[in-house]
Amino acid sequence: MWFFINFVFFFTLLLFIWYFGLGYFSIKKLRIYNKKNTYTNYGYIADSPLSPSVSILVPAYNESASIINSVKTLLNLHYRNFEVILINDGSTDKTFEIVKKEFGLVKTNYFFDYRLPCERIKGVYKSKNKQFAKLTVINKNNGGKSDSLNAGLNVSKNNLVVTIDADSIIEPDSITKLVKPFLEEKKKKVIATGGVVRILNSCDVENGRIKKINLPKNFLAAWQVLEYTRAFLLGRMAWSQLDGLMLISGAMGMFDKETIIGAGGYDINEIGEDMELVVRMRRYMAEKGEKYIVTYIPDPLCWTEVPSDLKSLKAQRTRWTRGLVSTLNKHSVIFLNKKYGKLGMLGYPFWMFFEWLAPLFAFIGVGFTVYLGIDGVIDWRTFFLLYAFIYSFSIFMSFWSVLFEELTFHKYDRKRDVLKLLGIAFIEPLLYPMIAFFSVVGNIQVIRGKTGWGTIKRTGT
Amino acid sequence: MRKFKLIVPIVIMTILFVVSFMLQSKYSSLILENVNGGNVEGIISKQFIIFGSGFAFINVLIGSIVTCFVVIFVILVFVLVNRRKMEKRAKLKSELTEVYQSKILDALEGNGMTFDEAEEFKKICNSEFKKAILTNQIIDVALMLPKDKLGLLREFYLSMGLLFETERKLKSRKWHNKIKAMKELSHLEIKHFNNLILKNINAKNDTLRMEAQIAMVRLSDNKNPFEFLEHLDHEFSTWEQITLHELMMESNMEVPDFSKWLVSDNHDVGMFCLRMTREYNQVEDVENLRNMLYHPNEEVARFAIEVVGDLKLSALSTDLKKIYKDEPYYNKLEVVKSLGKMNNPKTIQFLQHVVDGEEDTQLQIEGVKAIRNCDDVGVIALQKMLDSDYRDYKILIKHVLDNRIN
Repeated sequence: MWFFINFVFFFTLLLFIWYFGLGYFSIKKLRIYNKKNTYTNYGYIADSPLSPSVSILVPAYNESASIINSVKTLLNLHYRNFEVILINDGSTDKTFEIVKKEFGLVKTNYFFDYRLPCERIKGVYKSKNKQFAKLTVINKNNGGKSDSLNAGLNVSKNNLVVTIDADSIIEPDSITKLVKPFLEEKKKKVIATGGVVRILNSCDVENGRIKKINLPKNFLAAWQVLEYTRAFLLGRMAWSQLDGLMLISGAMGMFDKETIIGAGGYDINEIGEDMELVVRMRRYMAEKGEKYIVTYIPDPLCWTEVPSDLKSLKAQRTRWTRGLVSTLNKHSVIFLNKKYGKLGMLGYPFWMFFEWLAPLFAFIGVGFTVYLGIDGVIDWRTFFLLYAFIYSFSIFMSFWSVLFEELTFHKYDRKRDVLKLLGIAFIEPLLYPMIAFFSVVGNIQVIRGKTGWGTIKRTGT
Repeated sequence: MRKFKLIVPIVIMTILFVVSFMLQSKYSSLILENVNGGNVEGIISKQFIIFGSGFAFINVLIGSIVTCFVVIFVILVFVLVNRRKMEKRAKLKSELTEVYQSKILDALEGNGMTFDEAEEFKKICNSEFKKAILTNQIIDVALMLPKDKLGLLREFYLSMGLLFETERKLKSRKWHNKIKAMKELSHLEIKHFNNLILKNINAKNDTLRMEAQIAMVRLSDNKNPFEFLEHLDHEFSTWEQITLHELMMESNMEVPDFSKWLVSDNHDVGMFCLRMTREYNQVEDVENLRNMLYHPNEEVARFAIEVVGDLKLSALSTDLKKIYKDEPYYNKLEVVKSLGKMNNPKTIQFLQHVVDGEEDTQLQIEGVKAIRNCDDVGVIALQKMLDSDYRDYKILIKHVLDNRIN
């Protein structure tokens, strides 16, 4: 019995100390960032002819319902030098036809250089209308998201590329904010920058812009707001400060194209392409011996819809687990390898112990507790004390992240929404066994060799 | 080997588990002796009886739970109170901003302030919160005011004794206070502390450094706004460079000759001057630009190549051709692009060699583009290439000739 309690205690304690440490680093970085932001004029960079040109890559598969709005929103971003490259990944609906008609596209004599591997390109299209001169559309055979992004990289003209999901809503100043670290850093080469992804469910959207931010009415979606706030404000912010960032959300990120190409582009067989690319780029730079940095900005840059039913949530989480295991396995050489700096000594071990193994241990723990309970060996007083410890610390971390949100971006205007979010913090630890279960399922799928994204039901906002 | 690596964390966890058990056993046996000896009065012994041998953790657990719930409660109260406080503060700030702005404008009109007005402003300065709003409003008014009235506003500012406060902020150890002071001084054109500001142009903090540069440019009297470049030893980021360029355009200041700083020891200053040389078309000093093409720093050399192309300096095409062979890939690409921008038929032969000799598609595409840019002579050359048996250039040339793409 005490074997079990000791083990759970030490592991949880280590995990909590780690999260506490991450929270500390986040505070430090957020405070500096916010203070500096007070003196930053983003308008200068958005309007300057000296700002670097950026290529925005938008892979689209069966997005006929929202694609026109998405493209129009992107073409109206507040930034001077950019191009939008829409990649139709062999959609089976009318995505391409709708875009072609709306923007008056014609096929060009584009000579396609397959520098990065991708499926066959049927054609590269430009608009007859000069108003849409910034738009390029690639029509290609279906190959998945990574494949589409490789195709987009092959066509992009600029060294800075932004990858975004076609169904995400982008903040108008997101490009300016993402480009800033690339312009600021002089000592190290910035190879990628990410920002905060927020949850779109229940928000009021008009013409591709967020009109009013609301906390989702659906409980699962509202719970994910808390989860995302904690992950983005406490987790990634700290990892950026510690130079151990391994993930830039696939929903939106900016990358140095030269480094992506050097690292071999997106792996078309990879399910967790966003994480795998960042790890591979970091490996490439470390092996080249060049000083580099992956930065992160805490500003909300894009809004995306999250699963609001259990089936979709399960599909998403099992896919995340498969992606994580695959990336960890593929780059296991990094583990505790000094050559890769903080990535090897901190970032990789963290993801291995606390993101991959922790849910597995938790699941085993739940099973073991049930077994001990049935066997009558369990000391319920100690058990509940241990659970109360885990429960209180989880709520504490969630409260902390909501406090951050309140002190910094203050996105939820209504007090009711914030109180609801704090209320969810009390229920959230009870959901953890479910998340641990999804992780176990994901691991089983890895063993069984499952591939593919699964389907996530979109409800619209 | 890869699969083996994944077992490592599991082994570490097992070790952690065993060590914790050993520690527990050692610790609990001491207390067990105590309990067996009949001494059950101590708190630890009591816990031992209630919770068994895990008493050491129990204290830690109870302590952690209590701490967590206390912090949770404090955060909850803070969130509720802070929201109300912030809303009140924002409302008050917006009200005061409006009131102070009109008061300042009133005070600047006519023959200066009355005694009552002066007393009222002095009262405002007794509160730190209100004084900060007043100072911000003075800066806002300074931005709106015509130049000839700035003197009046400056006098008003000095009469409030705010300069003393500004000096204190400028000498503060906190970087954001220094920035506030520099903003006040530069917008009101008070030059008493230029030496103190100049010290910050090499500050470690990038925001402070940039604000110091902006202040120095604003306080320069248009004589030599970029004099600070001579003292700049620190990195000079593209962000800072863009901000200064925007500031130049905003304030319509006289543009200095940037070529004199091209050869600066600070590579970033060289890059900035290359940017400005291009923006303001300063092509008089070709020699310095030529030297930049041979710059030992790969990035600076690449940018110099780009600028020479943008400025269409055909006189340097021979140098571009000369350096091509030994340059790294991305610099080579830039050389070809730059030659294309020059629209010089004399480069066609060289460009044909690039297209024929290079295996890289990007270099070939840029080579063909560059040839096409050489007007009729270029088109004839492309026609010859189309007819050539040496290589099939059809797809490449079709791509380049499609104006919708390029």
